[in-house]
Amino acid sequence: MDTLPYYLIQGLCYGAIIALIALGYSLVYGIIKLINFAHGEFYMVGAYAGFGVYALLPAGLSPWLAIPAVLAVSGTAGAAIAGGAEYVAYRPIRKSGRLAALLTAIGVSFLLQSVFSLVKDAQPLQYPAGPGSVGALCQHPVPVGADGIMAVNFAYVPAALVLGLGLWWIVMRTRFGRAMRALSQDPDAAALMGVNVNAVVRRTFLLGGFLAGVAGSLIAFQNIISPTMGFLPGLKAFIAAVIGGIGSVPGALIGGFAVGLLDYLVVWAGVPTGYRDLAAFVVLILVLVIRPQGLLGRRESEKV
Amino acid sequence: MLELADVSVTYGAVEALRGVSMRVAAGEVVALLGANGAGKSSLLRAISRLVPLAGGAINFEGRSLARVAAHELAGMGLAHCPEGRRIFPDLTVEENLDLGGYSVGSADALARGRERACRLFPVLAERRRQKGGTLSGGEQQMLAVARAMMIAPKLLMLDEPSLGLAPKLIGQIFDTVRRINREEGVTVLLVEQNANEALLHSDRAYILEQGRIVLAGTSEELRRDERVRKAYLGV
Repeated sequence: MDTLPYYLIQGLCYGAIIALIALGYSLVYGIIKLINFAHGEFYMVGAYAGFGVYALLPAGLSPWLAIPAVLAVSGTAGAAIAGGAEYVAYRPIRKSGRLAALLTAIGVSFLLQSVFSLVKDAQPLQYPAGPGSVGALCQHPVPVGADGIMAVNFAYVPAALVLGLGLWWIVMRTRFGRAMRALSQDPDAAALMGVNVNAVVRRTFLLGGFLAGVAGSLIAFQNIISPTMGFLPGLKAFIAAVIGGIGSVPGALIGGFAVGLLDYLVVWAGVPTGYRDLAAFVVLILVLVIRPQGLLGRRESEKV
Repeated sequence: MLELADVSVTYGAVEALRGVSMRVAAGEVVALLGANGAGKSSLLRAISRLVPLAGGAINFEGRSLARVAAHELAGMGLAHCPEGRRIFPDLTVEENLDLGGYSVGSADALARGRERACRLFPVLAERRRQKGGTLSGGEQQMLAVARAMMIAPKLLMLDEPSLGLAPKLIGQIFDTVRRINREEGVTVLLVEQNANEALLHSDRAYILEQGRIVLAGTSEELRRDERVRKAYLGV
């Protein structure tokens, strides 16, 4: 019983990462109805880019300076790869129907995984954890009950809340956000109002890619980096976005935390770890059956 | 102000417009009449660059629209209030209006636009914070027109503003179109199925049948034309 706080905290922290990925998933779906299965790969690319720039930083640099630099680069790389994918792969087929878009997204996902398999022959990478390093700072155990939780975890929830609420502010309060919402409701009408649809879609991908890229490095500070690291978190973020109500910013945050907590609570409850990933999918199916629009989503009505 | 020369539009194998030529001069209210499916909306969508031309040319204020994107037109002073209102249902009335003024640079011009909208349709001021989707059909139509007026357009294109409205509201919408033309100095291209009202409230008119202009003239002439009376006015 006394292990519950440990699992709750771990679940929330993991949930924060899922939420960061889910935000971009949800945003992109919200405006162009694309299920971007490559979104988890933007997270992977962010982690690789952050690690790459870390290797270039001077050896003795304080981790307090290195971490922000790494995060900035990962976010930028995530945004760049998302923007690139939008321009090269998604824009040309945007009017070709949802199936074409979905298949393209799966193709982009495979492509990015394959390309990044060329980095060090796909061997997993890890931040060094020697004294005074980023790894040592981030992986320093903080005692919780009889267990320890790595220090970096405690940055996840604040990061997800600050970035998520910032994104919500952009969507609800800025001219750009208004254009996004108009575009999601009626792209042609938005264009007639003077909204440059291509530009808004591009910027939405950039925002989503940025959040995923940042999440990639946040995880990489304590975990291995590999070409397939984005697959499962990407799927879980998709589930989170659906649970929260795809297209909704607060929904993606809530869904992310819900999926993260679920993941750890089933382990706490004694489900063998091999089956832990099953829980999220079971909940996904339940949500799709009982409340397909998700917690905060709106029921979609087919236009006549 | 607006000139179309030999404009054709096709959807796959279907020819929606076949060699349409027409012009709208500054200060006019020009009506474009025709039955359902005659190609009226396609014509407006072609002018707004939402559908590609299969042939012909469109000039707005002497400038060819061939290389202009749909979203650039608002900035050039061309407003298009589309068929079926197409307001943003989840945005508030105020947000809908602000989107209408999306291409307007300054906060001042935006405020003036909102003022103009509320002067034309006072009810919108009362509904400011309500979501567009919660308005009645008539109010939604007012919002759609007001939204198009946010840029203080040179040319306003209205696609069936009377569709689905109660007779009393239809009169009100057409009166507003007149006011927009006279008091705000906006040139109007009005697409309508309601030929009676449209011919009463316009200077000139074109009649479109199966993608072709079959008749053109002043609205007064057309009101007396035997063919028009039979086919469109029901007398």
